[in-house]
Amino acid sequence: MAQRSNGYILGFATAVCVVCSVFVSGAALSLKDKQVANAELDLKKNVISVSGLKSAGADGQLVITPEDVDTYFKKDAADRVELGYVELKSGKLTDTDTVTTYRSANKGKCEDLPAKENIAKVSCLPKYKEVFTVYKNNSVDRIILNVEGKGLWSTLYGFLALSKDGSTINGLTFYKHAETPGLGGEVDNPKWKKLWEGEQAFKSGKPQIDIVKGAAPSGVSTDGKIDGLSGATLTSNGVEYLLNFWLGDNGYGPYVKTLSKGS
Amino acid sequence: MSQSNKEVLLDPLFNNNPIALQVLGICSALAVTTKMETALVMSIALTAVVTCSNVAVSVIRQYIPASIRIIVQLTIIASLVIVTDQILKAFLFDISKQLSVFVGLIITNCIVMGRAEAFAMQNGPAMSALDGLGNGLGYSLVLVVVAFFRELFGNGSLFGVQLFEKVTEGGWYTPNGLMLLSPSAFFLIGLGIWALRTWKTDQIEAE
Repeated sequence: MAQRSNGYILGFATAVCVVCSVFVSGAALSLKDKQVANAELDLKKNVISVSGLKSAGADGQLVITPEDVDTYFKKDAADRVELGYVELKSGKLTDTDTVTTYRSANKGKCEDLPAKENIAKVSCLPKYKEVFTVYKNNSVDRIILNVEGKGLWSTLYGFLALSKDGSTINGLTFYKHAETPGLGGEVDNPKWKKLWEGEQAFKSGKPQIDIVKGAAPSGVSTDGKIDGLSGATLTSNGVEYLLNFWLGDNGYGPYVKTLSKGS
Repeated sequence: MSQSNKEVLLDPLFNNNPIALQVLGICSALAVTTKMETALVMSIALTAVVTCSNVAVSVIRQYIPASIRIIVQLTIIASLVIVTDQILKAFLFDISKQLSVFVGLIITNCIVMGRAEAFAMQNGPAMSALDGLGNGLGYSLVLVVVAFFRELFGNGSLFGVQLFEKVTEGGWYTPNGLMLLSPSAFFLIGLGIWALRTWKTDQIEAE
């Protein structure tokens, strides 16, 4: 191959970069709507999976179809999931319009959070956060909190379902993470997720989630102690911290307290 | 199809398999082969990427300055991989979630760059396409075979359909948990290479 001039090399590199970036951004833009729709559907599927509205089939597997999402997110159904917002600091439910206005006026604004208290290592503590209320036969059955926090490699995003008085954990699922498959990725394991059901989330008003190494002591099964994931101590710790954070005073704590008083 | 075209396409399957003989692309072969479904989607994704990148590199091979050829190849490959990932996210969302980072890691898969550098830089687009397709299929063959054993013995199922009734669900089969862990892929690939070299003795390296 003949020696090329520097100008040619620079020009060639630029041309390749331009063509490739047009190609990539073209694909990304044209597929974006579909991806957003997929992500939203996946999110709602995860909400339903911890809502307890649909139970597992005969083979023990919980399959949630797009039709289920439509059914359970319908506004007037007797069994349904409703999206609401909580002002974290006061624990008050806030109507959607207020939140939308606030969010569009304060894009990306975060609340003050001392680094020491940020045990979940969240990047931003919002003023308002989602809460899903599950209705069974038109009466409140569960509430579902949106939690997130650092694991080993990635931020884990998930949903935590609590009983209607906020005391008992009814389910936990993560809808987005990039932990090591087979190790930390086992947070998706249905068997492990099942361990959470029935655990008491609080002890004298403080979140008491504790993921222990190995197997949690048997006998007392509702004390907030959960078997750790083998080979994934840091992911397990991350899950423990993020749950304690979001159940605590900086997270949904004030809101959950109003639930126990109300009932 | 002429003899040499056929060779270019079919050689990578057994005679010159990218995983079994060249031992490239092992990382993803370990990671995505616990299930047939993910292995198959990964195989298709890689085959598509290596074919397209071979064609693209081959088309512009005479214009690529030698001093920056590797980075140019990588730019092309990376673009193709991102687009593949985007397509998976749009149309096969559940599977793309399971494949997670491994689609992105096709960028660093030595097979793709190896073929661009070793073949597409010297040959025309049509031949390069065949070469990419052949190598993609060679990779796919190993992945699918490994996934077949791992899913069957690790979980008693194939493509998610339960074939062996598991003990935990009242059946007779005790799943071999090792099969679901990465080391089992090493064992299976190792056994596969052994079998292949027993069959084709010319692949054994001289001592």
